[in-house]
Amino acid sequence: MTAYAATTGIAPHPTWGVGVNEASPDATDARADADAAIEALYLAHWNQLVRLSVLLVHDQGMAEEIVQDALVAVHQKWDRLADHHKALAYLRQAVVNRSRSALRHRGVVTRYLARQQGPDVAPGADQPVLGDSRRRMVLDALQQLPRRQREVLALRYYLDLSEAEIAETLGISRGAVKSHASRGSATLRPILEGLGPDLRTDQ
Amino acid sequence: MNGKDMHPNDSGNDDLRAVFHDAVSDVEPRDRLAEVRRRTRARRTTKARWAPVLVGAGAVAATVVAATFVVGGLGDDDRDDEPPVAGGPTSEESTVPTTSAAGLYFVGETGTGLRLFREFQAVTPTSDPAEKVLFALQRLASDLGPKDHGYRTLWPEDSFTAVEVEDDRIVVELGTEAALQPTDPTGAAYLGVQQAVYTAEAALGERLPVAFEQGGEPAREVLGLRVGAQVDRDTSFGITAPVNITDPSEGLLVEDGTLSANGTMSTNVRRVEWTLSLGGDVVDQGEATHIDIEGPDARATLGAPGWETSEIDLSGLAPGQYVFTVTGLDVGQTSDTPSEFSDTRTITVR
Repeated sequence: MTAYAATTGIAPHPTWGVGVNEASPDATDARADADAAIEALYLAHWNQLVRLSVLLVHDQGMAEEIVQDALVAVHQKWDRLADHHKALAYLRQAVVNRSRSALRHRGVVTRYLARQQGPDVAPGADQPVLGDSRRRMVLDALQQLPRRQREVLALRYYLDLSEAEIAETLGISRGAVKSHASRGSATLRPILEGLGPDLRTDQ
Repeated sequence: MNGKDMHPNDSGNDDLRAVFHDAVSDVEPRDRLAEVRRRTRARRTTKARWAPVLVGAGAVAATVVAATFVVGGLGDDDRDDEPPVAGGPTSEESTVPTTSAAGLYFVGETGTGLRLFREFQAVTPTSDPAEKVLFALQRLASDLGPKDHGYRTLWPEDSFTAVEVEDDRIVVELGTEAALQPTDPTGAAYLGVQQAVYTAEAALGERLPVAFEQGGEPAREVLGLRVGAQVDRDTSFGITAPVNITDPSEGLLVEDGTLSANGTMSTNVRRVEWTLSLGGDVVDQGEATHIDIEGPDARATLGAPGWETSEIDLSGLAPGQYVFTVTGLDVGQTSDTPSEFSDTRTITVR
């Protein structure tokens, strides 16, 4: 397991993992635990979870709102969480669920803005696809995938979650994870190959 | 973050891993820790038993914003000259769009008197809560004001110059003495003050009272109305319009042949019906369905229930200016007797 995978796994975060899952004698301690835990989750995972949500909803402003709402929701439910060591897993699940629901109800603000901005125009087939436009096209291609495939691919290839972790996050079987992953990558690959060989050389 | 990390079970997909990391590598999330802290602490202070505890934990420095940023938003550019276009030409923009529309509240007529109507406008994007509020409030000033000509604003030019978001209130600095004086002969000052409170809360996404100041001193009168040290959002049923259109926006130019409309309604509106008419003749009509508005949108609309139409086919229509109208029958909560309320938008079909 690499260092990257360790920070995104379900293992307790070092700054709050110890002690906070023990029953607190009173509400004050519970509140202090919840505050500290949410702050630690924010510091360790804010950037990564916002980027995860951008992969799902393709809108940074909305992604920030979604992750912020998810942090507040986990704080709200803190006393009722069965296992505080799993707080990151709950948070991740909340981010995926809220991203899904934001897409479903993407009415008011986005429709308004979409009207103002108009649709994107893809570059011609003979144009080199570089940097920003390549990123945009990858995000656009992701938006074309069925929702489950997009979620599975983002959790697998961006968060590096295992099949079991993805299954738990999405509430589906490991078999389903496998089939969404293989169908999603099969659809994505030809599109990515069409974007040219520079895709993997500037990492 | 390293895009080349190998997953133990999945070592053959390094290229996909690289693509996913690269796709969001230019996304720089803005710092929202202060907002997270305020929202989690705000919940606590509403519960008396926790109120005295932990006051210092993660205290948030109040943010003061001066109006030097001015209102250079997206919306300025298209006001009165170019209407927003559906399916129109594209412009160069960054990889990831940022959400920057604000729900603004204006005064409009209904069959039973004046109410507040919400209209969305594009505002300068910012992640700073005080700036969000300031940029939204500045659009209430009469030199900007509503796009829908059926609405009006009571706030004079230069009304809003600074905003400070504190733990328990929003301090709004009024930039002109004209904002202290009556501006409306119909006695709608109360709604005018509520325009600012509704808009500020919608921009912030949080329920906080507004304290009006002028020259750093609390304003005793605002728009000619005596006000207390803090003004709460008046949530009584007679304040907001029972049906309100969000989308389409006023003056929308439709080129792609379909229209989907949505908006909000009060809890006691049972049926929302819509019509599309040209020169007073109804060319299409239907019934809207109830939806729940969630996520960021729900904050911008202050939690009101929503309605939406199915896709309306405009392809057979002659080009021209059409009026889209929604009508809701209110069964008594926002008025003494069941009454019909409506909202309209003018759109251009090409």
